[in-house]
Amino acid sequence: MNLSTVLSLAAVLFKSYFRASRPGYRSPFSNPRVVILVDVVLFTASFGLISYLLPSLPSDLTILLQPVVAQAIVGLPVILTSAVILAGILFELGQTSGLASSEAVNWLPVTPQEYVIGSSVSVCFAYSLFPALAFGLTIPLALRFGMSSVIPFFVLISLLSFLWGAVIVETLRAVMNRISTSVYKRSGRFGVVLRLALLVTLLVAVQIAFNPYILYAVLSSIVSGINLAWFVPMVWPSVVVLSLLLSDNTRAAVFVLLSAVFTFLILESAAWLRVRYWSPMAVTISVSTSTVYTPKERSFLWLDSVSFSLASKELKSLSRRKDMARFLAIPIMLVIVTILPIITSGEDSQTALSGVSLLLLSEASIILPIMLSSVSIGQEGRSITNIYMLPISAEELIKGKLFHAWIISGVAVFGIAVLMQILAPVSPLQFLVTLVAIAFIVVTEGYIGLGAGSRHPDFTIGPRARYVTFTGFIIAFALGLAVTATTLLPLILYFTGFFTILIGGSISILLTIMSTIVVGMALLILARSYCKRGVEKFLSNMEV
Amino acid sequence: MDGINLESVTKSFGSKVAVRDLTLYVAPGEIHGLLGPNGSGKSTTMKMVMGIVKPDRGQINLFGADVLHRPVEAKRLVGYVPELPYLYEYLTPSEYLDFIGTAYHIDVKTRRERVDELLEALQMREHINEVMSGFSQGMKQKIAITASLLHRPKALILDEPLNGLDPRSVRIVKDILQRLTGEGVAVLFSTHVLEIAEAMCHKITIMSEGTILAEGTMQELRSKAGMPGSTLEDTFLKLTGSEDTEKIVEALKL
Repeated sequence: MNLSTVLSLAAVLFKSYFRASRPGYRSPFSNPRVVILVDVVLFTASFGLISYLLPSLPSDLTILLQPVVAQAIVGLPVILTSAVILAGILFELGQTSGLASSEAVNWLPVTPQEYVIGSSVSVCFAYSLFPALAFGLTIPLALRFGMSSVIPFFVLISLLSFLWGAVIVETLRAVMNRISTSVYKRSGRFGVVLRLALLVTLLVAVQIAFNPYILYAVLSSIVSGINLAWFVPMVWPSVVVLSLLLSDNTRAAVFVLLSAVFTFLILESAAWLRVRYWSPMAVTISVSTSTVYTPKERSFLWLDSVSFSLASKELKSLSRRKDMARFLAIPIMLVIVTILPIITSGEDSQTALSGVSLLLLSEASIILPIMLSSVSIGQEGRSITNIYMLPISAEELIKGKLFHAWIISGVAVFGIAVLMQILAPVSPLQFLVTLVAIAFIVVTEGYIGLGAGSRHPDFTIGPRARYVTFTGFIIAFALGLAVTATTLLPLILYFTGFFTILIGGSISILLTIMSTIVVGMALLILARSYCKRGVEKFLSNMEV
Repeated sequence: MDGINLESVTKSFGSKVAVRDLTLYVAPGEIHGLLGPNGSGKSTTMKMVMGIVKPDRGQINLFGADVLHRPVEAKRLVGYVPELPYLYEYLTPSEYLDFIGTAYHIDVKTRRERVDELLEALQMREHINEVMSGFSQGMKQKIAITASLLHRPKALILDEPLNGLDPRSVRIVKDILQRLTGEGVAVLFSTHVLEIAEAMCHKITIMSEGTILAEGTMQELRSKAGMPGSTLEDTFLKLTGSEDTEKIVEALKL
């Protein structure tokens, strides 16, 4: 194995890994030296902050903190491994198929072992902020609670765990490449649906896993269950740290040895899997075994045949492109992130849920339609040429592009509204006004998103692609926020009792409904005009 | 006026003038070759004819339809193959061609007939229900060509359409173009393969740095270059001032 090959490969892969994500493009952070500097700054800042805060903590809190610090130090190696694996998987999911392979390496004189180590080191570099921050937070705590003798071993074994995560990502890449290819090839349309369901489930699972409540529970269980799970290689570094804390040096030495053997084994396995599976196969996925062309032409609701055809294409894009699956996971994640802490907090959840009900609905009715509509132009990538070359009018494009945004957002927001009505009921009339308001918001936000997305599209297709520029994103959300606040104003005035004081209780709900409709219609007309002008300007000149 | 007309068209990207005061006419039934070194403005010219890129100045007219003011109407008359086949790779050819056919308002019966005959000719029928992400460049190019011909256009804008095609498909596409010009279709065609241009084009325009260097039939170009009896390659290299290729290769010390 040639070390200089490994290091230069790691540097190249790191740069391509970093620059492949849009925010890092042309950024100084794609330079490994800058990343090291940032890590050092982050470590020093977090170390300094904790060291500064520790002496001012009350003594009773300090006593409570000691077992938590021990848990953190023991659990950190496993958490670092998991964090890299999760980040690596999410990166892979964000990639389009066109970027999924690194074929060039296959015809260069690089051994599989050199590639695997180089690639793993580059992944470690990409996520080096994790250990920098983790060490900056835990080392001063370990020093404060008399665990200083363990620190050098703890740091080294944690870095080894971090590397394991990167090597496991490398293994998973090869396996995922083969599995997705095989599943796709054999199961056709069913495979498409299955993959979408798996992607959405995985994204939601990641969100749950990083919920603070869940994280704390996991951390506690790692430490308490470590002796039971000693046979799982992933926890061996944690066993080493635990053994050192308990001054059981023999046990620590055994598990260090086992960890070294495991490192060798996973490196060899990853190299073997790369040789065996990595070379990308030409994937031919048949959605039907028929070789007969059966033309289809449909219209639906307000969609003529051209708009329907566009809408159908958008839905296929969402369901067949793995980089688009995250947009379908948003409503589920949104509900979980908001509701889970309340339900798991053990407090009076119905009161708490009533408090967040309108907030959650407003969040969903802003985020979903704006996300889906603002990215609908940029996600076309270079294929946007098709839209330009075809005789498609601005009106047809708007209808076709907004259909999926409205339907998905509408169904999701309505589902959330019904869920919240079950968990924290309000009167039927209040529920009706809420539905009217969010219906207006969803439609209007769709127009705003497409208006901003057509003015500020980002056609870069790659990992973590945004499909709308940062400026477009800010404009869309600022306008979206203003629209939501204005549309909900009558409802807020009703809930705060303003209308009741003004005109009496019996007709205040009617005033709320009427004013919601008037405000909603006015904003909808303005947003539609904003959207139409943006799309017309966009269609007049291609700037890809 | 019939055919493809460009009058005094100029397009700049920032300070770079991509096309400068270009006037060009492609008559119905004519295959007009657009040649030039990389970056000479060929693709930009084609995109402007398609109404994809807006010129800064000038007029573009396609069979009577003003591209700048009536772009949707103009696009109905023209078929386009871009320099790279930017297809929707998550769709199957069947789904993609349905989308294209619907956009051109081709009725279902005609669409079935056209797709069947074109895919049969280009040997793509068996791939009709496969997702295109697994296709080779040539296969994608065949689908792009099929899409451009689906609606029986009056004009064809073909930016290096034979890239990646196998010899049989090249021959078929050449024959299709000859037949279409016989029916009055105007074809604006760019290629870097000068033998193909020489064999296919009725007229040739050589562009460099956004302007026309020379224009005319093969005979007229040879006369302009002062090289009677020469090949288009020699004529092209002479006119574009890049005939010193031997010296460059010698300097490489290979």
